[in-house]
Amino acid sequence: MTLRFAGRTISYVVLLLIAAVALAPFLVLLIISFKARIDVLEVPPTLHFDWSTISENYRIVMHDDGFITYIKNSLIVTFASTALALAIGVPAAYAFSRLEFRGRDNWASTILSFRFMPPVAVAIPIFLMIQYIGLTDSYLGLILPYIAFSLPLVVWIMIGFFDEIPREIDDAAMVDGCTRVGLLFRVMLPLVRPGILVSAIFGQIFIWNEFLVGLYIINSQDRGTIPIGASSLLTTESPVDWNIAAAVGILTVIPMLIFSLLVQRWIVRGITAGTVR
Amino acid sequence: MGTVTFDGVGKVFPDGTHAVTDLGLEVADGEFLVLVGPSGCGKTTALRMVAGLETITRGEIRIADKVVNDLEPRRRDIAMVFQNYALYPHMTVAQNIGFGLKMHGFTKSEVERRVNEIAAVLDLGDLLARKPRALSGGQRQRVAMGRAIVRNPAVFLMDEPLSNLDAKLRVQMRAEISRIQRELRTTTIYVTHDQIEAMTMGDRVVVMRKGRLQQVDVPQVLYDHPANLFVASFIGSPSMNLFQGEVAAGGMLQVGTQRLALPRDGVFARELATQAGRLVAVGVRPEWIVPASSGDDRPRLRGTVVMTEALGFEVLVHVEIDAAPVVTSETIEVALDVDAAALADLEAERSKQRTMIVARFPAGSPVRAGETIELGLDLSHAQAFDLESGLALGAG
Ligand SMILES: Nc1ncnc2c1ncn2[C@@H]1O[C@H](COP(=O)(O)OP(=O)(O)OP(=O)(O)O)[C@@H](O)[C@H]1O
Ligand SMILES: [Mg+2]
Repeated sequence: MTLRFAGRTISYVVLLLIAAVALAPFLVLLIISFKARIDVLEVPPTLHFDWSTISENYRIVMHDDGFITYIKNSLIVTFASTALALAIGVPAAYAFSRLEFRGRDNWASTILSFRFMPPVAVAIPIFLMIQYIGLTDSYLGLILPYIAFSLPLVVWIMIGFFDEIPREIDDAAMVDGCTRVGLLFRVMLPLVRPGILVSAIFGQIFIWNEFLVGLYIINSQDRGTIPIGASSLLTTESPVDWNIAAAVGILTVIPMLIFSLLVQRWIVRGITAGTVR
Repeated sequence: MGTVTFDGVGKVFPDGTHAVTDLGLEVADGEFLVLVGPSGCGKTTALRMVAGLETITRGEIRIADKVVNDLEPRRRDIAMVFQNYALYPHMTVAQNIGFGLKMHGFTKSEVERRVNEIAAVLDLGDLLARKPRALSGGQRQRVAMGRAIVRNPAVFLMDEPLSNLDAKLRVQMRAEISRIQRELRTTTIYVTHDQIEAMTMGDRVVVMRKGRLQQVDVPQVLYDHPANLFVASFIGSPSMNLFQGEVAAGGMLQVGTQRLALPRDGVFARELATQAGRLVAVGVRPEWIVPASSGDDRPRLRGTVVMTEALGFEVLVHVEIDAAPVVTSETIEVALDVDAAALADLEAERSKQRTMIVARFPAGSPVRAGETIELGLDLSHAQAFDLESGLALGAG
């Protein structure tokens, strides 16, 4: 009894510590973003809750600095890349899981190995290729490499999900009158929906945060995604306005925070359950 | 018209496995044909080639006289019931049954009408809105049946559809499938491991071994006149007693140290007449071995009772006799398919040069383990097989 109580106490303490470590920088950021420029460096620091200061800080970031454009760009690029990666990756994974073709296993592991490469290794060649086909500074110029980056993950997660579905289901659907493609859409997709969600989420997180490759390909303000825009806001202006910079930080984090709260149920379910049944 | 023809059909998997070899077979319209054989003998492969789920390496398969080798499954006008049912987990029972109709372009109301009709036949009316995971094994099995029969195809293909059910349900569904098939008169190829299913359900039964057809005939002929040692030891439960005997002069059969008089006439005697001086495998079904009584002139065999099994209406008496057992590749394979213990028993018999045989005695027969008894053999129903080739003597 007491042992269980002790164990519980310890686990709460540990959880609190983890929460404190994870949340502290975020809280500091939030507090600074609420202050007027003059108060930022105040010692000792005090709390300010002055609505006019707060809204002014965020208005500057959103409108004067064009952050709203970055959000829009990030949404477009992330959504389009993920959708296309799924459109290519899900059928590919199905083929890897079900069809017999030469070098299937080699191809599957080759695709995964692309994932081991850090973006920094390929940033320059990708930039050169994109430049060669004239897509620098365009959405498509970002979307193409992002598809390439998220595809391996999609394919690998989805192979796992397809492998869990008994082949007899495919056979039954084909005897029932489906073609391979027909059964992929009518029977398989509903069954691997958790997998699609999980791989979409992982892909989105990666793309949303991707910085390095984007930095090469995007030069103009109005095509930048959030990481690119935020870094330019933080590095080009001097001296740095800490309160504004903090607001940038908060705005960068918030969309992901909302997103992860929305999807965490799916992530957990997708990873643990794996599949249907 | 739903005939199915196998014409020299062979299947070699990419890894070199010869799963089916030179299969020639004619399934008549409306026939219930059962494929039976030990694990790995190629039953499923043969069935899947008919379905179009497996490519055909050699030969030709025709459905209703049309070559289907290169036809997709959906164009073959077949329906299949799978061992694990393969119901679509995300669809309701109604959607599962109606899916094939929908794929074949039936209107919504027509699909609904036929699904309801089938649901009534299979007693699934109350379950139509459920998902498969909320069904019992028996109910899933019926949904799988419904999915097959609703399309009214030319041929039903069933791969061990009852193997996942418990014994009681299996007997029930066995009767149900037979009844449905008789009513619909749809050509059916039914794969099973279970020879009782094979014997009770099939119009004809195909026995396969290592991808090759051993014998195809109506169940009774398979039972009474097995073509070779493999069919003899595979069909029947308890299985046919097999022991070695030497054909001696004067119409006698030397079994171990004992000498049996052969019947004066009949098939068995004629078969053995050609084998003078040779060792043959003698096969006698348990029902043709009875307690010896003083009044009859049946040849007698002495042995030691090892065990008795009282089944209520009869007693199975296991008796050890001093005859060499028949240990050939055929009997070894059948024993292996039963279990490891059966194989060990066979090995033990070989090393002791004694054979265990089983006799069916009437209920209440006063036999006890350990005693020595005399058995009366009705040799007019016995079979003889060549020990080398395994073929029934006088068969060809
Ligand atoms: N995809 C495959 N690749 C290679 N060999 C295979 C494949 N499928 C089956 N085999 C082999 O072909 C042979 C026949 O298999 P099959 O499944 O037809 O046997 P079966 O008679 O249905 O057996 P069971 O009673 O166990 O279901 C076996 O030796 C099996 O190992
Ligand atoms: Mg099988």
